[in-house]
Amino acid sequence: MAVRIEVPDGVIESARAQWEAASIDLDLAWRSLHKVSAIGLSAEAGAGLVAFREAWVDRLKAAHRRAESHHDALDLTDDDFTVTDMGQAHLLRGLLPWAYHAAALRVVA
Amino acid sequence: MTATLPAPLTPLPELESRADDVGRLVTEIRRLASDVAAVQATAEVRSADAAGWAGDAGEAADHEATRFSRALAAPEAALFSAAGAAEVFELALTTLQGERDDLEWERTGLNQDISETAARIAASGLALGDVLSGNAMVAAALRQRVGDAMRRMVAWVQRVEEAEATFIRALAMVDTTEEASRAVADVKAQEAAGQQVRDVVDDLIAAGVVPAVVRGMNAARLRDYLTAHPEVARRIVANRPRPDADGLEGLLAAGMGSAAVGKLFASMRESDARVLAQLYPDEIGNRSGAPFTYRAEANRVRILDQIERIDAQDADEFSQRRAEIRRTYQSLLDRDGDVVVFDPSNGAIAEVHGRLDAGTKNVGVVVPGTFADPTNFGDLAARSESFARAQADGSLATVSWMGGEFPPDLVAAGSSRYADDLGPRLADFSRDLRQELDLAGASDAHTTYVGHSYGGAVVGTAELSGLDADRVLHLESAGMGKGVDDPGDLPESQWQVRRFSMTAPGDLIGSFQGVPWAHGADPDEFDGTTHLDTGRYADGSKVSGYASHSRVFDPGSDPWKQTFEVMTGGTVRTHIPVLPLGPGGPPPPSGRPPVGGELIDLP
Repeated sequence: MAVRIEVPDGVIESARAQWEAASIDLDLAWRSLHKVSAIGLSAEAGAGLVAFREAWVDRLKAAHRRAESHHDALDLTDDDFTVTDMGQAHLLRGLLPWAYHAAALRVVA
Repeated sequence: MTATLPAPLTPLPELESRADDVGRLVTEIRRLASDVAAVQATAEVRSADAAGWAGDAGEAADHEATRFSRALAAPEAALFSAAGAAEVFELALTTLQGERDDLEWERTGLNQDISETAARIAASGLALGDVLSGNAMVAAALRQRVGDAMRRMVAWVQRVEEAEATFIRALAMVDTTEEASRAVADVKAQEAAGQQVRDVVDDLIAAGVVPAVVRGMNAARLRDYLTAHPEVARRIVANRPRPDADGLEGLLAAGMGSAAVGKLFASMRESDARVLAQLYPDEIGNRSGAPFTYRAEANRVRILDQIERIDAQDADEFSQRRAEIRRTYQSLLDRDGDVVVFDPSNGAIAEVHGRLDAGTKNVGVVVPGTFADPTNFGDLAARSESFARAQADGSLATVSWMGGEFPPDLVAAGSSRYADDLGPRLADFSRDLRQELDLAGASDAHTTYVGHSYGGAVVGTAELSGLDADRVLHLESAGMGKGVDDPGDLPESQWQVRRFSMTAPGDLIGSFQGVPWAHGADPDEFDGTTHLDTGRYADGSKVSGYASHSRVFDPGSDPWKQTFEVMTGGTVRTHIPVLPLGPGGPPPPSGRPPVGGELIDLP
């Protein structure tokens, strides 16, 4: 069975970075919302605000985790590609003349 | 007879929610909403930008970015909605705090009067119930004032509760994903409109019309700022929107119809619309289709501008008349009423007394007569307001309508020229008022147009232009309006209008009613009109003679009560003709002569 990966150079890294940014922004968002204070509101208005706040803190936290999991997955994939490419490079280097067996392997983006 | 002094009034409770803290909430939540919106927009772009990543993996990445973007639309909408609700709450709290200050000032004065009266009675050695001492009357007057103040205090507490309930309800309406998802389209439209208002602020700052400090101000802060800096209000009023400009500025420069104007404001949050109204007051102050709240906000700036103009004039040119006009303008600002028509070029002012809201059952519009102009608008306002204040449950609002130039003297009052101009304006205003009632959820409210003196001719002429009225009262009226000689002269739209008339015996206006070349038919003899009795003043004397022309507005008098009953659809007393005495006539009645006829309940 043939496997074909159609990912242009840099795409995984770019997607990973974007999901990471989303994850960080949403992490900050839910924490900021959690800190929104009901000070200066009456007991009734404050209770209304707290109910609203907690409902959306949970959902923003869930969105943050979702972005974070995508970031982690792409991070892993990126690593897998690097490891796979490194393994292939080792094999290739073994096929080269002896003088090149110690040639340095460099990871390029 | 026993009489008691009222107990001192207890202080109003402090506002538990504070406008400043709610303002802080607005800023925090809006910033959060913007942050979430930025993440959402990035995900949306990413889903459309998956080009170059082909195959299953690319497709999966594309789909997930789309799903993620859509999922964030709900919290974004919820947060923007919450910020908007908090902004409305902040505005309400600012207004309520001002009202509380006024009520507390009134309460302190009343308590002082009660305590001074008690001390005076104690010093006099006379019993409170001693009629001869006059103390009973003083006590009754104090009880009346305390009763009125208590009603206003109770209404204030109710408004505080309503404002809180509205805020809590608005938050609860978007506290689930499903609810917030349904609100996405509206919130996005409101947010876009809000951004356009912020763009307007930026443009005006760039043009030097307003200083940079105005950026980020909400409507309440902008209002305070302009009050403290009338020179900025003056620059704002002098600034005209450019027809070739993009966005709201261009729209305002174009002559939008009332439906388009209504749609524009319906798409905006109240807080944004209030800011816009203050920045383009000439375009919004008298604009048909714009809700009255925003017209009043705009006209406040125009009044500030006019006061500033008067103050900037040389002292030599500072005429007595200008000083009186300035006093009128200042009093409009001081009582913070809703001025929904304002045009200094022709003296037009219309002010709403009371509230137009879902609890409004009746609205009375009072149209004055000869001599009405900005110098004496306060008299008209006091008369109109007396009716609104008398309805304890707040279901009656009144309007003082002086929508243009009225005859300045009795010679001019013979001409229909003024009514020809004012009538169509009043008819237009009646449609604006009806729209406002619909917006307020008071579509079933009844409207009464009271035309006093020359104002009767104005109301009559307005009927020819399709005045949207349920009832019309001709009060010491000059006539039914030029060209209105019998009911057949009125358009079909007016056939359902219920008409009343009241003319005191001996009022000189009676000599001019029905003069063919002047203001149409005599209202008291017009087919289908219910002729009401003018009765007596509060002191028991008969309403008659020259002075009665204006004194029909004396609170507590029979004509005042009759007018109130017409406005509220209550019970009125019909007029009975004075029959000739002597041979052929009835014998003079014994004791107090009859002054009224049949009592009828209005629908």
